[in-house]
Amino acid sequence: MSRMQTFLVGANPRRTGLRIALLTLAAVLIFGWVLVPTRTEGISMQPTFESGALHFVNRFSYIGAGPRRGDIVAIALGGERVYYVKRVVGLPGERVQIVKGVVQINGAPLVEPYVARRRPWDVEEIELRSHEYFVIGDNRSMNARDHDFGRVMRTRIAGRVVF
Amino acid sequence: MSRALLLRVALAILAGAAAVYVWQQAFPSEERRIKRQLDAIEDAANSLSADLAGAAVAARLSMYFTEDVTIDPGGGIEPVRGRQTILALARTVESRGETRLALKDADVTLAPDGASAAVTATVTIARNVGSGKESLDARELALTMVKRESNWLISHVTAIDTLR
Repeated sequence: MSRMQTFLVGANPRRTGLRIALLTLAAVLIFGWVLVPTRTEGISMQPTFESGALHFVNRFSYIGAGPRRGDIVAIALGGERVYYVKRVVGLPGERVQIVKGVVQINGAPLVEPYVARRRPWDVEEIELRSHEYFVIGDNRSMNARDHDFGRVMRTRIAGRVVF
Repeated sequence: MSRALLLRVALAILAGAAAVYVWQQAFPSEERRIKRQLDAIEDAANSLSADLAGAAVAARLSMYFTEDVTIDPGGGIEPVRGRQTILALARTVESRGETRLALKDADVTLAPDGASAAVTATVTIARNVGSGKESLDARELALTMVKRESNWLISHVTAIDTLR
């Protein structure tokens, strides 16, 4: 075997081929089912996520325990290709209200250091049922009517957005 | 396993895959036909404009719906009823390219009699808001489609509130 061939396929081509096949299979499994790449489009998660940025959704995040407050989650719509990316601010059983742009949980204001600017949104208090979470984007400088937020069933949360 | 045998197995697999592909293209299932219909609706919706060509596209777009179609966008907005209303709305679209619609993740469930189908899909609408920026909206839709003379037409559309 020539030096070029050895450089390209290694000393044992069969083993090299097997390694490539295994790596490809692992990549397909990991990035197809576990760490799903997703590109953020839109401005509702600014300044945390910019439109066009690439992130990964860990679909195994919530196998043991449910989402926690502050988690950024991917919410499935009709299928597997389009997600809402929002932050969890309300947990099951809590009362959630927005008063002049400040999220209140059970009557107490929520500290949100990730929110840069706020418009004075007002949303009437709701009580989350079991398996319901309240999600919202970080960009509160938008008009509320242009921003999708609200209650979501646990079953719709596909996973946690990581890096 | 000898190299010749491996090659034969690989060729057999490729030939089989090609045969399946050709069969699916020549004799598509009803689910595939419905998805192709949705692709055609997406293409037509993205080709609308205020000129004469756009009027023809609007007429073609309206024919993908039944005469008594109902489109319920939710959020307290009055439903749109009837094919003629859709045609009138489609004609009001002013220019091509400022709004881009995509139908994704279509999931089709045929009724047992094969005469209707329940379809869920996600529609994304990207709008050019100037300065090179785009606003993006996404909605989950539930559609009812019925088969009329071998064509699948939309009879009902409901927007589902994923976030309530």
